[in-house]
Amino acid sequence: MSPTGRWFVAALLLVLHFALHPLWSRWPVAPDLVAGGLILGSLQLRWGRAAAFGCVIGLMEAAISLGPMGLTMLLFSLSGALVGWVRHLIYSDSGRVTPVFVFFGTWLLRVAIAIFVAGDWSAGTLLVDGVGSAALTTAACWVAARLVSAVTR
Amino acid sequence: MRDQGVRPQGRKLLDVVFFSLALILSGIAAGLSSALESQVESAVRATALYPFLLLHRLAAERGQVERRVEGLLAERDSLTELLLRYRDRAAPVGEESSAQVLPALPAGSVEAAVVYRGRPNVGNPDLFVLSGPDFRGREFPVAVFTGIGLVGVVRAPHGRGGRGEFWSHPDFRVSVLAEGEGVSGLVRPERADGGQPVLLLEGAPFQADIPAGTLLVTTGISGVYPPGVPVGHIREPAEAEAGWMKRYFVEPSVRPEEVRDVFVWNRPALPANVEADTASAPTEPEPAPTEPAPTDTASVRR
Repeated sequence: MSPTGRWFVAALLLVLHFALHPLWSRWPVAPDLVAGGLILGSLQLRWGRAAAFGCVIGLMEAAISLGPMGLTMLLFSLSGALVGWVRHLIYSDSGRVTPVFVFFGTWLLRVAIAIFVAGDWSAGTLLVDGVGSAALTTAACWVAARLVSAVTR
Repeated sequence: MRDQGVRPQGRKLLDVVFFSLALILSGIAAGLSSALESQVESAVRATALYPFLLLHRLAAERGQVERRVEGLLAERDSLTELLLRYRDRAAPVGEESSAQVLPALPAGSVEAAVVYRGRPNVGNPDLFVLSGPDFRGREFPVAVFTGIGLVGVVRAPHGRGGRGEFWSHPDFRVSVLAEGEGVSGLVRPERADGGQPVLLLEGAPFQADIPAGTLLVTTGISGVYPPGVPVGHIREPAEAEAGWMKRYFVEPSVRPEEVRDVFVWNRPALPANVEADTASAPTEPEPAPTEPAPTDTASVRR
């Protein structure tokens, strides 16, 4: 997929996340589309710009979720920077590695939010909810990528 | 980006600048006061997030039409019960004097508002923002309730709206009276590990037994909440407080996750010779409301 197509997928995930926001609080395990959008976007950027991108997305997420603004911005910035830096480190431009980034990136972000924002250290949240959410996010990203590929082909 | 294996130094520096900027902005945001943070949130919600919030509102309004029928039926039943209770009631001694005093009691007025709650696990589900009435320049706290029961309290302005706390917030307290029992106490939230938040009635006299199912209503003491608003029903006794006060678990009348359309209470102006409770009520009397104020509790509840 072209870089424009990847950006389109990231934007689609972010728009879906904010548009369907009331739905995400109904289930403990739900796709974290904002994490998916952040990671896909960060994969297209260098680590510094990915941090700035994460900062903006974190600000929007804190505003809509009524979370702690500074902490949310910081966690999203660090996640974006980390994804950008690791991708740069392993010189990975392959589309096959993208699901791995999305899965582990989402899990990491969920764990960080659970610990630092919600103060929840329970194994159920960190392992079951976190992994479940990461798996659903990866699946949602894959579906979105296939849809965009089909439309832009 | 790499140009034939060579990384341009300028871009590396730019990365450091962007990263530093993100950290500095996060640090500034973390250091903002609650009021300022609320205003930034409000600005983001009014600009970048506005189309999404509009979409949420339209979707909720559409889905609410069906639920509204059930709500109206419940309100009708509640009002019928209230009517029957008062019709069967014997006329109290000295009714004339009460009737003379009641119209003089200011009940305040209510305004309709829409609640948007925080997202659990990411944001704070005990907080909400309120749109509808203009809260700028208003004195806080302001009571929030529905026709079914007490919802919470608005603590600060949030753009044009308000930012408040549901009854499930750890700072929430309300003085209540057990209907028909003459027992009063203080209610605070209690959250069992991993469970739904409930309320806990504290300060009930040890010699008084409050049966399960008894309705608790606000007393109106301190002037933050209007009197007579349902808070919840007694569920079961909890462990006694040091052996001289009883505590009861209370099933709340309203669940925060089910709340959307609410009323905010505009406190009536206090008489000139009455001093406000400085701990929780405004110290200065508010200007008299422009709309005709409801004169009975049932009107305030609705």
